[in-house]
Amino acid sequence: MDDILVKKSQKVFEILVRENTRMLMVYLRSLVRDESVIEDLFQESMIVAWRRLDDCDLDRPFGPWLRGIASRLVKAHYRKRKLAPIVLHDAVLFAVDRQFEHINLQVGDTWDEKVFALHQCIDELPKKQKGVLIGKYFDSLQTQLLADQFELTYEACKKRLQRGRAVLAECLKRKGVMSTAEAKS
Amino acid sequence: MSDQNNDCLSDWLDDDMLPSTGTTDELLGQSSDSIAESILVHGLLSDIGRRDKARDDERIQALMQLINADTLAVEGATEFDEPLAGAKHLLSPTAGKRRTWISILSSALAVAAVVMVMFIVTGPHHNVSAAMTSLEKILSTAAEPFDRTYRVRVVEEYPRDKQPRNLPSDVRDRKVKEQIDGATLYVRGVNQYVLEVMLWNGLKRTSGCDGIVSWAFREDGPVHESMDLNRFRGGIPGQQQDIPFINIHSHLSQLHSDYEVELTLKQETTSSGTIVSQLVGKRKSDGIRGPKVIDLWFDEENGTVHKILLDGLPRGRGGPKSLMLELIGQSELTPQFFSHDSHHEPGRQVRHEDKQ
Repeated sequence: MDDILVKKSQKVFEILVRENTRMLMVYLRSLVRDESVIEDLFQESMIVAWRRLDDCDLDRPFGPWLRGIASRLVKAHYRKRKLAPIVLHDAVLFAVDRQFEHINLQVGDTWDEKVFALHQCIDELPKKQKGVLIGKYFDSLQTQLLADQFELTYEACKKRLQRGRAVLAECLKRKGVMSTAEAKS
Repeated sequence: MSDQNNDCLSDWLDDDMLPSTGTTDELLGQSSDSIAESILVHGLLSDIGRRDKARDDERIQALMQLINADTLAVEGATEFDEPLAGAKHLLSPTAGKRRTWISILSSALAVAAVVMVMFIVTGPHHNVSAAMTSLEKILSTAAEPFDRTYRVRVVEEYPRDKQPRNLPSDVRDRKVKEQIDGATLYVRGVNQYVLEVMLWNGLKRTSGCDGIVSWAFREDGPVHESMDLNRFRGGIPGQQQDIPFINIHSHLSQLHSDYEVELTLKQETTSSGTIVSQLVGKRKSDGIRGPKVIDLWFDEENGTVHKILLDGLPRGRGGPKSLMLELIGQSELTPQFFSHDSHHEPGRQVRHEDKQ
């Protein structure tokens, strides 16, 4: 009997995992750069969630609870390495979480459907910013290589990347995928 | 966002070298919202840039296998396993901590499999459909309880004067306890192994993992046992290298991004008459941990790795510059082989390190 219950729990949990994998990967990729660490933290977050499933109020959304676990593991990861990046500031984490909740409210059954506008925003980017962002995120080029390719200084390349992300954020806000500061207040 | 916060974020997201240390910078003004927007966009772009549907499925499959294994582990739990609040059928606290840091010896096998995957996926003479079929075959084979035995041989040591100067002298002068040359490594599937190595004092040290607990003992001492599967991998040359072994599926992307893979035209015939082909993986940058070059020889017919040379191992904690792992056996080991009971006489004292 117990065995059947455990199997059922596992099946239910697998559904939750499938529904939240993309969201959690984006969350971790927002806070951590090292891909192998991201994979580890993904696995640890899900395992902790499984271990503590009895603590989860399933009448409430699973995503924020899962991100809460993940954020604690991310903090522990950086603490071990004696790193305290600005992205871990409580106010930043709170604002990130709010953005994820806003995305969750978008129309669509899957994560891809909810953030579909991102592709449109990338297409609308000015050519220069689009070039560096595609080089960095789609071709996995390091910043120095990108700078050489676009005949920029290293610092100018970083600025262009940063500017490109800001333009994308504005576009996503216009399309309602990301929330605005005004909407918060 | 303030210029200071903007620069700080730009360094964090875009500097080529990952920071090795740092402190929380002061959050100025209303920066938290714009920082959150920027890192979310970074996360979204990183995700779609690396998105791979097959990888997503593998990740979930690997996770559910772990959860299933953890559940089984609890069924066999002892009074030493501390129960978790609110999780009556689950893990001991340390069992969930499945960080996949591993000694270079074991990781080499994973690297080898990944390098082969890279070859199969990118090789010019394979069409996409055949490559995907082969990839699935290799990944499923890596997860199968398939036994392999390797002999470890030191090919080259670092000269004493080539050790890094930035290490404290006590670390530079520390002598590795194990004689890794001549060690034997047995591997089954993705997370079971036994390593037999001689110590400089002439005693044998045996360590291993049966997928549920890890353990280690010297031939004259008690067995140390832990639910942390990585607990006893220290002290082996290369153990500081973050190359994964236990769960190859969840780390393909890291290895994919870290090594340039090239198929050479070289072939060799092994002593058993098998013709093996050479693949070479070269680390993309010095910022990546792991050996500089991985040179492996494999049987093209069935994908079995026969020889792996790891060259340019990190020098931080001593150990050789180059190691060779050679396949010496593929015979099936007993079901209990990866449990410590199979390697010592009955009645040996066992110390559970997870016991509070």
